[in-house]
Amino acid sequence: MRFIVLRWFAGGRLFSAAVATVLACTGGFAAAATTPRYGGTLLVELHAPSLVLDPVKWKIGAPEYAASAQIASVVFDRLLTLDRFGRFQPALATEWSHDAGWRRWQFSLRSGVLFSDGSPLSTADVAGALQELLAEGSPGKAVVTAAGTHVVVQFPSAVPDLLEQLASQRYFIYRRAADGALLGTGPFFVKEFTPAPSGTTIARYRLAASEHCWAGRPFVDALDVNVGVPVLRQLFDLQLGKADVVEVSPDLVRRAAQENLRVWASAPVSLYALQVGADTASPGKGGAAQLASAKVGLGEALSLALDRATMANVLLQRQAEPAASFLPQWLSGYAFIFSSASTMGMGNNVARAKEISGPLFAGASGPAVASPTPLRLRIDAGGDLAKLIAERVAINARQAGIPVQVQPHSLTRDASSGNAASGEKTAETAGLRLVSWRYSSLSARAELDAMVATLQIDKAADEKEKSVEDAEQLYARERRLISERELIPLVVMPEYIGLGAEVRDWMPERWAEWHLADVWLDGKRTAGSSAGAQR
Amino acid sequence: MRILLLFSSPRAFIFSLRFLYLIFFAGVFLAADVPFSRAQNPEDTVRGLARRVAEIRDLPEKVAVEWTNVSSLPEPESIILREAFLKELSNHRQVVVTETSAALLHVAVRETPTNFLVVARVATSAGEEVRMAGMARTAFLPVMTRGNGLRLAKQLLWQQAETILDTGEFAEFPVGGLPGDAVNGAANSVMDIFILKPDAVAIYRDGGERLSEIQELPFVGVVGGYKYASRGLRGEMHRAKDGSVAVTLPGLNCAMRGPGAAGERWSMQCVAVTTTVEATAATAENAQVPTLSSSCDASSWRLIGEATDWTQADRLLLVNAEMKREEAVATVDFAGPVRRVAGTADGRSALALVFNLASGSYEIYRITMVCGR
Repeated sequence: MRFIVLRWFAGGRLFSAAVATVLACTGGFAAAATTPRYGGTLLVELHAPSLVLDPVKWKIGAPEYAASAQIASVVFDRLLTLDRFGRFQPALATEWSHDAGWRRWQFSLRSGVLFSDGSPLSTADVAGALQELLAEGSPGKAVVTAAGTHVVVQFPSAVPDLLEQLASQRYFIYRRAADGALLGTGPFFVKEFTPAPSGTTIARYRLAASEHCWAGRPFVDALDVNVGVPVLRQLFDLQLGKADVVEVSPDLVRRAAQENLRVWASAPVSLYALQVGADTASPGKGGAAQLASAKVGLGEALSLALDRATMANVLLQRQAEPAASFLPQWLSGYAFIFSSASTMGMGNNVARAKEISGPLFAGASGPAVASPTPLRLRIDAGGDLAKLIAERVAINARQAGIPVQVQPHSLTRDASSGNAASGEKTAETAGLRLVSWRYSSLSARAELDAMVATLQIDKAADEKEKSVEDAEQLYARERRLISERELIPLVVMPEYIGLGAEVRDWMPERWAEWHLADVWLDGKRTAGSSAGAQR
Repeated sequence: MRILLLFSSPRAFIFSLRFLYLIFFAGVFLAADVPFSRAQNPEDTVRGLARRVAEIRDLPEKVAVEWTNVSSLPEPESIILREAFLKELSNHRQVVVTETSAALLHVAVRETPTNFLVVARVATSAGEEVRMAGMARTAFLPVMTRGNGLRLAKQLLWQQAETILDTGEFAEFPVGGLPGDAVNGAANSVMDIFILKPDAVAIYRDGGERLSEIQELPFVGVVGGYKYASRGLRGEMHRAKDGSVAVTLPGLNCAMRGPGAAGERWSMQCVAVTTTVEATAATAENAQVPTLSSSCDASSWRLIGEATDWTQADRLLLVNAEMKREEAVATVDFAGPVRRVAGTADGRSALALVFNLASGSYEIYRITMVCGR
């Protein structure tokens, strides 16, 4: 077996070579291996304590729902998908069109699609699901109607990137039963749930293959998804052959390499950022205007004080990248401008940071005139990684004369919602917050809109600015947001997945969509499988 | 005058109203469509970008352009875009190669999941100015899938009536070479073409016009009494991790080692095994489909056969490593089934073993990728 880490940071050209590498190394080019085998159970282990398979309940950007989204993608289908060549591919919708103003969209549905209980998918089901999801989504107040074999979505303003949105995020199609349970048309359905036995955290979901899935039966008979599995145990289970697909924490990637385990890496899909709240400028006294000014100054000082390169290369062992923008390069296409633009104040310049913070925190770094109250840095993201990053932020801040005290995640949970992306507790009362954001949209505009709305960082934006129409306008908006220093990007991180020796055709999208239905198992585990009819 | 003529009858008047109505709605449609230039020609898009760059206030008269393609856009297409950009820009500014008085315009081709993005940046007295233009990736897909005009060329290397089980090209490592590293070792060594027959391995050297035999290593001489028996004509060769050439036949495993010193020859050691025909078959089927690289682009390519059995004439399809079989960009036909395709160490060509249905002979071809439409 070979250790494989695909890096996306260098762009698409590397992707081509990387895909070739992973295919070659996993036997993807082998003549016999091109014929997938049916049967077996794919064992998946996840760190998330539970799965929430109702997309309406997901909080956009919240990392804890990423695992749920992966599993939901095998239970539900979308209207369409995006392939890695930039082509929209039909899924539940076979055709689509829009008017000249990009306000009215029409989708023709695939016929003969069945839910997992055998009932047929109707346009009413699609309209119902989309209406629910679009009601609070970024495209605005959409009206979804079923008309014959078509579904029509009408927006009050232009939504030129609707296809990108529908091919990602939470826009799955489902039927909601009277008891709230959801039925899907995907390749698997949840057959059984076993709660965690007392004294353990590990619960199990068993998903069975849907024999009448419109896209064809998946190769494996079932998915066994264990949730609540500690990351270290996941690695052990992978080594021992007790798991086929596991999450590998960035700090364990190097260890996995030393153990010769297969590790796949996505494009950077998680952002860690520092949110500067309004009350952080409290050391000084004055009115709202002074506070706002002090806040901008503090943000600038913090931004200059932060040593992102050390965070990415030393703290995170080169498994992350310094971030200078909110949107990653693979999504926006222009993030590299921020990385190279020293004018954005993203470079590490402690001396300049001290100059700026001096008036705000007199006495903090020099001879103590007075002992300023340290700024509280709340960790809204869970896990040791967030704690490590927060501590590094505090060290960097102190070096620039900004006293910062890290508040642990558990205390944060007591104090607020505990979810960085929830927006329930705003930055207004929060001081500094370390937030983590999971990218989920294939539309850069929708992603930035969601980030801004959820983290409430751009209240001053007018409607005209929100309705950006091209990359240049989006860049201008993001540039302005960055310059306001309400949210300071720190690092972006890929998703790392460890793969068992028998896993074949692991061909996820670079934005970390797994395609578990296309995976098959090589070796004796598939022998004698009950439902493994060769199709 | 014309208006008067149109209004000269009620019918003409109605026609003129309809005409104006059409013009009005066409105008509305175009106005609505302007911001989203998804269907615009990529060259027109970069020309528009060049014009917008030229309109930047404080942009000096002389501009030097640095164009980089940091995306999966094929280089020939990037060059076409660059030329269109430069030509348009030169209509408005003096484009120079490099000059101290010239503004340096950085133009980079980047990509998103759905678009290629051309980003132009230039430092002015007012700070950095950025202009961008997006083009749908699908606008280039036919180009990407057709492989920039790649073709497959075949050259007949060898033909014989006797059965050939397998063929391959392996490096003859020099003394002190890298036996464990086939690729690096190959760079410094002579390449030999091996032909596996039921009774022996024959080694040839490509003399340019024809193959000349340099050695033949019979199995009988190594394992007494060995008799090849397989209805399926199983047998294969591949480079082993230790640098030797492994030969697998029903009931026989051999390892061939290259010359250790000048003047020495290939040697072979064999052991009789109880391998069944089926087991050998599995090994043969697991042989790697070769990947090829070309000087035309940075992509990896696969050669895939089409025939379902040995009764059919076959052809090889050239498919991008990321593409499906249906997206083959070039093909090469043969007079019979392709029995085996073996990649060479440098990845620049492959050897195809073909059974000619018309002549009944076994033929070995060298398959190479050729640039050009």
